[in-house]
Amino acid sequence: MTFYVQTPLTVMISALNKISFFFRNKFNKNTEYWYSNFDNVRSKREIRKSVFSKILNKRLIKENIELKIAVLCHLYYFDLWPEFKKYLRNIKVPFDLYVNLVEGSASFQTLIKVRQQIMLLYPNATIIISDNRGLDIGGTLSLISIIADKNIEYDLFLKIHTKKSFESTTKKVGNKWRRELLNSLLGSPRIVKGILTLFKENPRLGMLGSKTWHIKAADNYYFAVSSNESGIKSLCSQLNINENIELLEFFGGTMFWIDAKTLLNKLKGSNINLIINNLEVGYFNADHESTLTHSLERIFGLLILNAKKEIVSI
Amino acid sequence: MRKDLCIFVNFSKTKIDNYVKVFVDELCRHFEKLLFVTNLEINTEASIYNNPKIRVLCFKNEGYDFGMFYKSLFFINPGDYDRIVFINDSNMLFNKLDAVFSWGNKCKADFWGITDSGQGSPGSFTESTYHIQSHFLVFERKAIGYLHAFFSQIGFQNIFDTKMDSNDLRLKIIADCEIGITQFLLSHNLTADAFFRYKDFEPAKSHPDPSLINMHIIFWKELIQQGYPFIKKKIVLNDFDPKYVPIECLPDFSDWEETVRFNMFKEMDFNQIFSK
Repeated sequence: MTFYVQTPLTVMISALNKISFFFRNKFNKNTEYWYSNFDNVRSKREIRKSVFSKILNKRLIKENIELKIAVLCHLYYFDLWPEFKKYLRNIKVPFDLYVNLVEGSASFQTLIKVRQQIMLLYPNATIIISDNRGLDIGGTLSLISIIADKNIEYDLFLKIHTKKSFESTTKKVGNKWRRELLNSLLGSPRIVKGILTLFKENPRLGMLGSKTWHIKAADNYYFAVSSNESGIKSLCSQLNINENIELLEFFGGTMFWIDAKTLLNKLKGSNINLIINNLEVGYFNADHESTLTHSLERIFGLLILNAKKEIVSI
Repeated sequence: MRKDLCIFVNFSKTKIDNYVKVFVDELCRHFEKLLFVTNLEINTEASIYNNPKIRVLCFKNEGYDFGMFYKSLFFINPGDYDRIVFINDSNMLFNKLDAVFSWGNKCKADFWGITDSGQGSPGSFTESTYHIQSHFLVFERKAIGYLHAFFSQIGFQNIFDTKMDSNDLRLKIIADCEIGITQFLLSHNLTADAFFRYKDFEPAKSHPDPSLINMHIIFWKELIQQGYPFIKKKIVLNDFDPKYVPIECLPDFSDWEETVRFNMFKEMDFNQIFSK
């Protein structure tokens, strides 16, 4: 086990946090598995190497990549906008930005000001203020429903959000988790270029995310499915997906690049409103109970596999 | 293809009332898309939450119905729509809305409603107090283009950061928003109309000053007899605050049930609408 901050006091606090977290859940095998992920934080260089190792035709890297991209950003903690702004600068090809701000995350007046700030940098962005329903999943679906409503076609969606995870872990772990996910998807212009090349090169590629947070039921069924088995089954039936939960894969923290057409086709058909309306309201951390939100988080991978596409982690 | 949107604002304490379900159900016959904006955090009504035409938005109750309407305008891009209808749950619907929308579809006005009024409110900032009553407000494309400008002009966003006595806020909303929005749009040369105009309403003409009356309270029965599809919830619940309306100024509401039963749409169920 390695610590990520090197001063004696923070090492001690961090250790105490981990011990307390571990003992609070000592009967839960999940915890150990979950915690092992936090220690696996990689450098951008490592991530870049991982991306480029997967590109078969290296000549493609130099070509212009013409993919229609929409970035779907759920910005609950808008104080993180400066961090997200920097990450978005790493996308050197045109993209459309969709941002979801959340009513109740600050006064409505403040949200309007944040909206204006984003508009200064991205005047063509679509920025909505929605209700606090379904955490980042609800926010993202709200953005997708706008795209579906307007019949706009995209090749790729990048789904990101201001993950802090206050409730389940300590703030630093939340930050660490978020940065690992963001670094894997947007860590540098080269990483982004590599990812887009991968999608261009391999039309069967349906979803891509962080290797650290790529969770598979085949490796640890209990951890991957958790208490959401019934929720996942019910969603599978609603979305007309074969409910082979043993194949379930997802990216913990729910940030990924995903094939937009596959996702839109599935969600359009099953009606997004029905799903969004039934998502839980407010903040919750339901480690031990089934929620529609956490079930949905686990569905994206199945949806891709069902469309005979591949999930790749870098 | 035309794009119309209905924004229905609901305030509930524990569950969504039956009359709201009936109202929303009828609205869904006229709209492909409806935003059900509520302060209620829990799903208590499958017919609303599981209706694919409806997106439920759960917002904090700030700024009364106009606060909810204002917030909803940031969830959508108003410019995408040909018509936005703003309705609150202060009325109970017991008839079909076909006649209203059929009239509205022929109406040439830029914004319209079911009833208008000349009644003012303390603190009205405009000289004229003519307005379309906000329980049912329809904005056509040209008027939609002015919605954000209107709210910016009255500094509506500031109400979210100010602590204001609820009574003062209520009066401010009536003055600045209900009366204000009509006056703002008229000042930009937009045109207004109402399905029931107080100036043309015969029973109101006998009143010494028709502009001072609130038709759907004072002439509730006459309106219903002429096809008005609603009754104010306050009448049904007998919930008038003497602070705002002196009891002696109110008409007799005792036969509301009989009046509604006699005029209601035959296929609608009185007990379903008026039971809690």
